[in-house]
Amino acid sequence: MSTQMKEALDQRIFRGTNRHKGRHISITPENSAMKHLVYGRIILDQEVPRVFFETGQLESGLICLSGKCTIEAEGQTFELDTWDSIYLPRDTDVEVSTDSAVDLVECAAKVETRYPLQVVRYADVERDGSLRFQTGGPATTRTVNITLGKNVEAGRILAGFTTSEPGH
Amino acid sequence: MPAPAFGVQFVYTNPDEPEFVGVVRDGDAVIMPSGFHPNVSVPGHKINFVWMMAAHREVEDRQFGVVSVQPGFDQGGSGLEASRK
Repeated sequence: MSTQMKEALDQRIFRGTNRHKGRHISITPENSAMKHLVYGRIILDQEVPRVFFETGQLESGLICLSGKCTIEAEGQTFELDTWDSIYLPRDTDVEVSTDSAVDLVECAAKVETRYPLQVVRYADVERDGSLRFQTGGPATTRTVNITLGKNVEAGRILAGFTTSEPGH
Repeated sequence: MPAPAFGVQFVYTNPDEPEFVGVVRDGDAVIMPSGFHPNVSVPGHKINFVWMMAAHREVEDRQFGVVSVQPGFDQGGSGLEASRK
């Protein structure tokens, strides 16, 4: 392995992964020490309101970090609002579009099996104490939100987000 | 965590020889093939982050909350027990 290749695989931080409009994949098993995980962002606005991609051999999960969008896949149309998620099976054609602006995080991994397309409403996550809960002590409280967890049938990916108040 | 806020992320197995310690800002992504990974924000700001994992073995290893807590910080368990219910 070349020195340059080793340095790339040793890289632990990828800066500014939200700088690109459209769909941008930042981390893959090919450019990092990740064995399976693929990470990217889909950032759309009035200038770039639509992207199309194929999941190919990867299952893919999208979490809406801000804004809202429409997702077309398997002949169906889904509206995603902030903190909603969607699980997209491998071998799926996907179109993401917005009338306003949206920032989606994409989590993907290669899988053998095609699991069903599933939409996760954040309202349902909020109601489930095993998907959204507080952890830590009085000075270290964090809220864990598991949006693509046991609530979703999938092969490899798990994803969510953690929040804290200042000082925690 | 929009500017000017930032956080500090650690990734280590041995805290005396960390694999990564660095400033993280909105949009940065840190990879953690293994190890403990505490983070903190600068005073007065939240630290909110998305996390994601991919299981080594499809389906079989796809479990949340199966973690090792750093010795000395494990009196309260992993803090993720609720996810196993």
